[in-house]
Amino acid sequence: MSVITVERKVLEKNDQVAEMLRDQFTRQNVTVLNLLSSPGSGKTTLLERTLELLRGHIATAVIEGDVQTDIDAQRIARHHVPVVQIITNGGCHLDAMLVRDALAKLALDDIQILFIENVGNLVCPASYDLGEKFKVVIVSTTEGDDKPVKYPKMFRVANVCVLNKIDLLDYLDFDIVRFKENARMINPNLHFFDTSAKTGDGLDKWTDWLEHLI
Amino acid sequence: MHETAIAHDIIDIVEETLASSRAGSLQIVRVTIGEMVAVVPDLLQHAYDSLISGTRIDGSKLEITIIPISAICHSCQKTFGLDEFEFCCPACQSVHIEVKTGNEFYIKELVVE
Ligand SMILES: Nc1nc2c(ncn2[C@@H]2O[C@H](COP(=O)(O)OP(=O)(O)O)[C@@H](O)[C@H]2O)c(=O)[nH]1
Ligand SMILES: [Mg+2]
Ligand SMILES: [Zn+2]
Repeated sequence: MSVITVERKVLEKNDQVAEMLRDQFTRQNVTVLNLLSSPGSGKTTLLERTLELLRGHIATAVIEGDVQTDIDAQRIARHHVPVVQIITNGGCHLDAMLVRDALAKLALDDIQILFIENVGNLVCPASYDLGEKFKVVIVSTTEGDDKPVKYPKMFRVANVCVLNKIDLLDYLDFDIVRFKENARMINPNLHFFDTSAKTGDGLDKWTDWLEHLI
Repeated sequence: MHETAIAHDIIDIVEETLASSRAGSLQIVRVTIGEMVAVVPDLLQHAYDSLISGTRIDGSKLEITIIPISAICHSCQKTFGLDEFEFCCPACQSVHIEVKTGNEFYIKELVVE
């Protein structure tokens, strides 16, 4: 028996590519947001509204990650914004290599904000750096105010938290204060936005913040 | 879940290491995983076992060491462990804490015959 020392990070390949992407985004002045949530919390709807509100002010583009189908990419394309679809074929997260390949289809020089809609999943995508500047976790009020406690890793790595579907608050026993307390316990630096992608409530603060990023 | 993707990454690093070391047959892969890392050890073990089946490292085993989460408080300088993901100091309730361990995720070493 003999022992060979390895001491190498399991995710080193992803992290190396992510660092290259981050350099490239910085060089080309592109602000990248990685949007993370459970399926159905409203990532695509929020994106559609956001793209409309930013139209004419900011040049945007979208990378859509989905397990199957390009339905979301089609929804985005209707807003006349460059969009690239990544289909993971069952894969539960995007990785930096997939994003690098998708970038070949985008003219980065013409883009100021690039949104990456990750695969709907609050566990696996938390571990994969995509070279983004911000990880935005989106939670909808229908999911319950204990989400942060159930998915602590995601809330720990996120920079921004969007609480979506606030138009439904009257019908649910979702406690906004408790939700934010839970989330801040895990990550005191989280920056919150409360939105309804349906009624448009709260989107002004969100897009103001986006406009200040560039 | 992503344990299959992770098992692939582990096998790639193992293969690379073996190729450059003229080592004998692989027995154990020692992996260190922090408690903050969202990986289920059993699922990882299963994914690894099924991916190596029929390959030249068939029969080798993952040996996983879990590192608990620990942090230091920047308000009172106390060091403490976190059982729950409650990132605040148990002594002074400050949230100005820095996680010291629990984010590790690496292959430590290989045991070969
Ligand atoms: N009531 C309400 N429904 C919403 C809101 N945002 C999204 N939805 C609905 O939630 C469902 C899932 O939205 P989608 O954007 O596809 O979620 P994704 O899977 O995260 O991309 C759709 O039926 C949307 O119309 C919201 O703010 N309020
Ligand atoms: Mg979607
Ligand atoms: Zn303290």
